[in-house]
Amino acid sequence: MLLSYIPASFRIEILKTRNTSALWLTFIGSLFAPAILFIGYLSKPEIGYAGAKINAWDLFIGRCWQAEIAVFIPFYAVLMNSLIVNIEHRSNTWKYVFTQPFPKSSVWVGKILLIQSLILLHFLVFNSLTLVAGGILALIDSNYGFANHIPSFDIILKFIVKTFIATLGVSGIHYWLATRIKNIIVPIGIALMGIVLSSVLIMQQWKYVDWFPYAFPLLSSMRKSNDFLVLHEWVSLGYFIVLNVLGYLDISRRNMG
Amino acid sequence: MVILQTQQLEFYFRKDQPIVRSIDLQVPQGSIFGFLGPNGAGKTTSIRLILGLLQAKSGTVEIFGQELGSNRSALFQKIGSLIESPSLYLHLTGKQNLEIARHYTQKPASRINEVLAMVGLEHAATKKAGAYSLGMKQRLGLAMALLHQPELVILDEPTNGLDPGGIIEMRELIKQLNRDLGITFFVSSHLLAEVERMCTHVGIIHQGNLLFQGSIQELQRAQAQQRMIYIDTNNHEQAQSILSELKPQLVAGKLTVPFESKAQVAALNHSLVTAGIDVYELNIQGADLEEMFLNIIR
Repeated sequence: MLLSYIPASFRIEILKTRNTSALWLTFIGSLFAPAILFIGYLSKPEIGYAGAKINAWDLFIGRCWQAEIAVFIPFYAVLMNSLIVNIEHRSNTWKYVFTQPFPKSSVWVGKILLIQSLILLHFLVFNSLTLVAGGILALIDSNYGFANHIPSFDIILKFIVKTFIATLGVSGIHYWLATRIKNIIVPIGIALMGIVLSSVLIMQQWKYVDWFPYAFPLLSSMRKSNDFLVLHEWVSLGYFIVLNVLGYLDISRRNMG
Repeated sequence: MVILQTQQLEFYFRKDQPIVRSIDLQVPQGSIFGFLGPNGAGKTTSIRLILGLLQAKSGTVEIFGQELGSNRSALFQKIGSLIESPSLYLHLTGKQNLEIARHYTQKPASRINEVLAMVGLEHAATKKAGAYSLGMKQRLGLAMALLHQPELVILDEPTNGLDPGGIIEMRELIKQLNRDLGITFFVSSHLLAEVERMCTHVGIIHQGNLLFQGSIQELQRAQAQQRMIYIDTNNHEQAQSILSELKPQLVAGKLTVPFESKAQVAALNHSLVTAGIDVYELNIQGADLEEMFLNIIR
């Protein structure tokens, strides 16, 4: 019953996103890390030459991912949740949405699907742009050694899947927060504190850091393991599921509009 | 048949400050029901309770004989609503907003142009809703409420913020849809004149209490009972004995009797004149609907 409404709910959420900053952020934001590394390689070529001895692509891609994870991804995930949910607050449309012949749960799930799809789309665009940036660098200066290697697509895929899972915990928190708080600055402030705190906690090797969601993307880029998913990634999945169930129970019982 | 019914509906945020107190509404099918009350009387709160946006502290709401709850989706397919300020996606065009409404209600794309024409917004369909005037926003909101051809339309102060021309258009549109398509309307308003011109039924709410409920004719009958005939003659004593059945009172040098009908005024005048009394003045005074409304909510 609920499942039959979800594709339509997802389509409706896409319609609502037209002309919004959330969409722009997804594409423009994908430029962030490749552009920084591109400029870095051009202004200080010697940092790029190191790649010629190992695998120029893997070094470049790895560095792009580092910039992406350290600076961009946690904020981006928070902003996507806030911006997409905020469309309803800003337009004063919760009361409209909740008087439509659509189960509330399908509305909730439709929005999550849209947010997570956009995050995945961002990863695809970001990685494509990374490859394009590498390609242009190869044409500019052969000393980088891009021509002698090929990118390891399995590494890219692993980065995407692990980082995606690691952001789910933050999504769980901020999706619920966004439905609760009209103001978009408050969640961003919370995220900012969380992200700053997470680097401190990681540096000090706090023993419960695997339970602190803002640290998860960074942990995923640091922790080496033979298992595909490590503890904090399972915790991230857990947070996402539990917080979404609680958040839905909250909104479905709350006085809206 | 009653299409919308509430029983002892109650709501409060704080128990000592009730907002809606034990309201029993009965909206007949095919009516235009005016939900009349001053600002802050509990109209919007009642509408939100009816639509399930607020959870009632006690009491029940039945629409088409069913409670919301597990039947939500089926019931909302038959209900259109416009609550307070219109709910519009301001970053989207009028047409894109209607596209969202169409997807929610699973209606064919052709309905979009039909409702645009109905509310007279064809020329602004590709303009962003954020650039609309308040009147246009209100009409787009109505178009979204009507898109899925609902049987019951609930409108909260639909003429708020409209200019006089817009108010008349909105009123005529509601009457036309009611007449031609048999749509039942539940319309809240704080303006008695508007309700009188548009509605077939009225419920008067004040401080969360439903003080009157019935047809406009019943309201007018109740009002007539509060009117008095003032009579000035050359001989009040004789006139008093002729009209003794009506128990005339002497007020400020004039006789007063309760007004019933115009025919009664003529008969009364006739009996005084045939008795040889000079009648200087016959004057009907007292509560018009406006005053009576004020008396009810005072």
